[in-house]
Amino acid sequence: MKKILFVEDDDMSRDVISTRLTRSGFDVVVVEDGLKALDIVSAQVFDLIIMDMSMPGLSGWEAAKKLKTSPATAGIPILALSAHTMSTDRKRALDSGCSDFDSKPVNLPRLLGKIEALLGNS
Amino acid sequence: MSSTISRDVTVEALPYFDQHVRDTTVGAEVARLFEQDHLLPGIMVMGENGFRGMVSRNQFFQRLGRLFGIEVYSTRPITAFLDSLPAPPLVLPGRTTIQNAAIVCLARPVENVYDPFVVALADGTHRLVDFLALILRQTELLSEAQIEAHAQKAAAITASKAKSEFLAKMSHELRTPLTAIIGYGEILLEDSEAAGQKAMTPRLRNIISAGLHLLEMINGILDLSKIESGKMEVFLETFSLPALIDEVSGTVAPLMQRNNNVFDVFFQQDIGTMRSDELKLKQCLLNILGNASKFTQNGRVDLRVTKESDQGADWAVFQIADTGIGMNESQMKKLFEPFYQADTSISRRYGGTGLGLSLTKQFCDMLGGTLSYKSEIGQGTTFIMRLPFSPKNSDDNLLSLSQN
Repeated sequence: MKKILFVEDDDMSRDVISTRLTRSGFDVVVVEDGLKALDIVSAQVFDLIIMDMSMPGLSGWEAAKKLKTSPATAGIPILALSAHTMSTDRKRALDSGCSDFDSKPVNLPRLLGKIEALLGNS
Repeated sequence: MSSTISRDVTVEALPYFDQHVRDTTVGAEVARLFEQDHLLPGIMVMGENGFRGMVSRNQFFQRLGRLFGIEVYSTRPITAFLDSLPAPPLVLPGRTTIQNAAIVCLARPVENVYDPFVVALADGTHRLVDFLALILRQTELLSEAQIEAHAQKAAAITASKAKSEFLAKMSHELRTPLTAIIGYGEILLEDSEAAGQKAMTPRLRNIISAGLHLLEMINGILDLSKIESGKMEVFLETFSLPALIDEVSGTVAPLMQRNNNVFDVFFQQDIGTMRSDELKLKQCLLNILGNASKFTQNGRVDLRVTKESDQGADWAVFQIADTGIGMNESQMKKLFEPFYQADTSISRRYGGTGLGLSLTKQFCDMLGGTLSYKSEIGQGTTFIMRLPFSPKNSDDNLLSLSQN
């Protein structure tokens, strides 16, 4: 079973999306912000990180940059999941090191398609 | 000072001279007055019945400088000089604007274009105004107007930016709760179906579809705002037209079945590839076909795609004809207005955001094409979308669309 780290500060979004990912057959671990994400990747191995971008504390953009600069975590694909949906938001996420971008609210088939593509490439 | 006020400034506001002499004054005395004040551009002449004429410094000394000029004019009354002038002086009413006064002054013959002019006030008095004072003031007003125009443009850009930022923020703030509404709806739907509680299904589906409707509305508003601010980009790709038609037809087929409509698609298999913005074209077709399926029951909807050559260019012509409820003249007039639906009961009965056709029209324009339609109440509606097979400057992937 593929293991996904899901980073999201909004309680309901975290509950909804992690439930749907679990039901889709993934082992999902959730944390609430960028710092906790950095903390947990040092202790566990993940196949994919799905991360909100605008979060208090350490934002998704900053966390993605840090994850990509460390050799231990640089290989884990990151899928940005944001309610900021302008083309500049997408570009900002990709510039920070994310491999792909999807918008909230989640369209499950579309999100699963992107997850499969990233897991296939890793 | 705002430019509106600047345009209203009249010659009354200009600095003036009120030196004048009686018409009996001799030329030598006039010459003495000019020599006393070197800045004096002219002197007004008053007769028994008021204003009689004007002596311009330039004209007067030029005349005195002629052969026997001093002999002819210095001992006679100044009227001798006035009567020898080819034309009377320029007299403008006090309400004349600076702009108009400048135009009239500059239209004078070249030999006296630099002469002062006379302003006749409403109370019957007269003033003398230096030509250069007029031109100086006019230049100031023009530069003020220019500064004002720059400031207004900057303010408009700021306001438009603030509006875009507001919409982007609003979109984000609405998407977060919508994530919960749509997501929990879908989770509960799965739960209830797994537990065999079929009774809840329709209401849960309503929650989800209301959420999706709201999402569609937010996306439509953002698209319209992007088009309005010139930020909507066209991304050109080369794609297979039959594949696109198949995909779109597949998406709308369930909608057609829901209203018990016969849906037929006609196109030549060899119609080939097209170079356009594939996503926008799909969105346009889905909007029009979606409408056709909504407003037609137990009828038929036809999609015909043909390739036409016109003026050396190839056009993809998409014709969508339905046998639905149709529209009357006044409904058709407002068809492309955002949020317009033939009447408010339409959105309750048929759904839709009221943004689809407005966006479709804008997209067709952006792609270099046209969208036309014909309709008759009770007979149905036909939309015809004509798009170039390949835009003119298609080497570049991004068409710049700022409309300035």
